[in-house]
Amino acid sequence: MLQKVIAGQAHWLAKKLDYGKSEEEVLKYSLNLVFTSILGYGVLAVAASLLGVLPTALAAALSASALRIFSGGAHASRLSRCVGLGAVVFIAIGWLAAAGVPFMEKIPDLEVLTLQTRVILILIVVIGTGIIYFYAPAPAPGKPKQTYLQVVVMRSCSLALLWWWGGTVWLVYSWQWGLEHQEVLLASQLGIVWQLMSLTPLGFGLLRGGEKMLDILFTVKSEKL
Amino acid sequence: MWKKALYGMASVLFLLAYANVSVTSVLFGYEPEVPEALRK
Repeated sequence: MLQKVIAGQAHWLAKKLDYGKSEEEVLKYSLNLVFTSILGYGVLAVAASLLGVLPTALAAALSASALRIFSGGAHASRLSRCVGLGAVVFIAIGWLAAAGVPFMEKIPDLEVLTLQTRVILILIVVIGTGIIYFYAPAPAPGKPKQTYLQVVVMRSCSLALLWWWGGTVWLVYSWQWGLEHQEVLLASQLGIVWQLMSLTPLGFGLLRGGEKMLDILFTVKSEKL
Repeated sequence: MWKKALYGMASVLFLLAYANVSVTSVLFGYEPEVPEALRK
């Protein structure tokens, strides 16, 4: 349904501007990117706000997405699964971050709390650097194979983004805002952890498992109907 | 006037398509097939 609407829009635009078939294909591809991103974030935003975890779910999704632009990662085989699984994962992360902060606040000593959060942050950046070095950029389905230079550039951009993110979170933890909104920072960290994991064989396996579970779930449901 | 606006919109869409082919993945993770014109 969505594909038909996108194809129709691209055809209309190409006709109005006297473009050829190849330009129409590029417009269709680009509109596909725009509409699927809006759909993905729209579904996530609506579901997360209904469940009351909008800021944390969005913080996790945006952090993971930014790193994903350069590093790539495991992909769902269909748009509906990508949107559905993405929403489930980021809402779960958002909920986990919101639920985790009260436990962190039980630590009475602020210095111990700050040290603990920073040790976790350093661990994410150090382990993340290793994961990116070995696994990024992950091959993207449907895209031309990257040249050696592209691989080096994408890997370097992923590393630069990870370190910049780590530095920013470190700084924000020093501010009053960071201490008052620890759930957002925690969600961002969990989002990055999820994205880093999606680069590894474990992440690819988890996604395949999730897709298989959806297959079983929907097959059983359609058999009952 | 409206044709100029459409040309502007099409230019942004072309730019987005070329930029997306240059990076590894799109924002929400779904990857449509790259058209032949962008593979050259």
